[in-house]
Amino acid sequence: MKFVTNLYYEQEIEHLITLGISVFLLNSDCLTTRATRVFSRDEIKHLVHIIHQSNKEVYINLNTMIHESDVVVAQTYLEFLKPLNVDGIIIFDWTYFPIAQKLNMENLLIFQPSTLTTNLYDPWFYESKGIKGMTLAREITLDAISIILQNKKEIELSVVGHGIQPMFYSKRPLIKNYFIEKNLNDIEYLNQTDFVLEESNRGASKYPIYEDSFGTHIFRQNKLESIDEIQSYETLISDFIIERFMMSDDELYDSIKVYHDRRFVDEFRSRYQKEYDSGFYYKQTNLRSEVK
Amino acid sequence: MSKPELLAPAGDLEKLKIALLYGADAVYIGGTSFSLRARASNFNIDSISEGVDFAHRLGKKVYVTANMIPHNEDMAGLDNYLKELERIGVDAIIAASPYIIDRALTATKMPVHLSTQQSVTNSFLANHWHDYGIERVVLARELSIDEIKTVSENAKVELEVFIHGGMCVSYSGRCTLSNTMTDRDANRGGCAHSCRWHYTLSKNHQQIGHKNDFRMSSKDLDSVEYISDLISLGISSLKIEGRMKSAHYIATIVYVYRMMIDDYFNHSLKPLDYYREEIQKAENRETSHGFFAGITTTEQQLYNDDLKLPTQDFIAIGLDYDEVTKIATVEQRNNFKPYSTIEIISPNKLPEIIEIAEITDIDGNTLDTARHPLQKIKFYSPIPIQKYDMIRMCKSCKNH
Repeated sequence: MKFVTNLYYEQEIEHLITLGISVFLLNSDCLTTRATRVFSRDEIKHLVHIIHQSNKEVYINLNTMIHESDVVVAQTYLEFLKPLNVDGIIIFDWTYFPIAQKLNMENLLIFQPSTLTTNLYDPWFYESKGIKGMTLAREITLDAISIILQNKKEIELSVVGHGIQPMFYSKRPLIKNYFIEKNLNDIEYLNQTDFVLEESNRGASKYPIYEDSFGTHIFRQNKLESIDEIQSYETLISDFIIERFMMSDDELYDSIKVYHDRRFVDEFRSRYQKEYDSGFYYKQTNLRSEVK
Repeated sequence: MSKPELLAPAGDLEKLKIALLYGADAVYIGGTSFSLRARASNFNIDSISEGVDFAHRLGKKVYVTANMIPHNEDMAGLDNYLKELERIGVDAIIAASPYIIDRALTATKMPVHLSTQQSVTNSFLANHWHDYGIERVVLARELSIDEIKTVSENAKVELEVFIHGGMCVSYSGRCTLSNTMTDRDANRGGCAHSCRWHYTLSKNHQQIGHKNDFRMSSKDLDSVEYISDLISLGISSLKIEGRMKSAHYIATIVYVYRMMIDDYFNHSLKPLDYYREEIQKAENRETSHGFFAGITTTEQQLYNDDLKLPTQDFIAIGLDYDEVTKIATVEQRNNFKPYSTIEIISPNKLPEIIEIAEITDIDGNTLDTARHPLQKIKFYSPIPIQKYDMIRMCKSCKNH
């Protein structure tokens, strides 16, 4: 199992490697949403070179929806990536698959649609497509993850096991429209990471909401940690992804540390516990009896 | 240019029949398995079969949704279910899960339509699914009319476009607000519509605006302004949303779009406000054109009260008519009184307005009010009232 996280600064590569990161996830400057740090093509070229020199891997994060006018952009971007020999390309939209097929790059794709990969059967479909991997959905239980992993074939399976949990992606500029409607025009809203929503029946839960040029995202009230759970699947997954979005640098470093040395568990929990929970690991949604 | 299919939702067998009688070319229904409306469905194989027979007798079609994003435990019996649907003559299934699609293509010869839960937003992906064996792609609701035009020009596959009804605020299938906030799985038919709730927005711990006035809720989609464009683009199917809506709603919305499509082909389109006014007789939420004009603005969001009253009340549904005595029998759906002005909506006819006099129950007892739901009521009507005719109380009726 490899630990994957977003790289924000070139200067931290060595430190992250020391902490245990094997794969660096780079955000593009044109096809990545909910990203506080993106890299130009020149920067990506440079970073791929130096990360590979350190014998570590690079994934590229392409997580926007691809509308008609984006298809050319997406194809051009894959053509740019091809000679760089990146080790994986995380995609949110399946449009990348036929594009990558044309370029013989489908073996680099890791499908991470966030919600659609919820059962043990769909990996078989994606495996038949010859892609590199698939990230399991966030809204399934630990038991379900376990069953999927035990039934997997050759495709690499990954989990986003730590960090903030997106639960909603809209093309609509929801914060901008609200501000216009309420004449709140002097407040900066684009790319701001400190907005939260509260709902009066949800107690003290605060749901981060973020808008960029690709639309609006809403997140779970707590980040996910898998400090205990990781042991149950670490031999069966290829990548354990730590989501860095809305996380301080120190918190990221502490997060990586805690998965590599259990002596830091108490310290991590005493410092951050209030911000974390176990997500859907133990929370069955829409029980079968209701569906019937 | 061929006429597009008008595709309507049906939450039960009665609504299925009403949708088809009022002009839908096809209906889509959710069975008790594998559907996003499974929780509320009463369509077992027998009732689907009855619906299929009814539709086929009219030369129309029935599609069955198997569009949930299934979890491990949801897959039991899939092949048998699909084969049963094929056996009873279902015309296509609508699916989102690649595994369900795969099984439908492998185990049956039924056409497969790709659900909007897969949020297809471009022709490249639409054609990829076509090459995989998909007959039709239901496009994401986030496309502008210009984007739909480009997709349509480049697509090899049949395209289906939503024209009316509720809209997900997120890209369809990419939302777990309901899972998080209520433990109900949005992608397995449990959506609690958390996007329609009231929220308070804060920035850096400071409340912005008023408490509970942040809304992300969407107005319902209304395509009256864009129907001509969609027809001229050659879109195969125009889809109405609303499997949970009432029979009156289904009848009215289908009736209006049927009229509009036919008027287009007969070169007799009326002023658009005419169709809008007809829709408002049933619509209970503000409407807008969604993404058709591009990125949504405040005009497409609901910031105030969700519900508005339809301009006319649905009071009864037609059951029978005695041509000799001219006595109509109807089934009560909302209170009404004798000596009222009512509007009668029948398939393939313009609405008609009449004054009714005395009303009686089925035993001939005179009533001062029809106050019991589903009670059979009789009254004299100079014009025939047929089974499934919709009877509305006129608030501001205009003679057509």
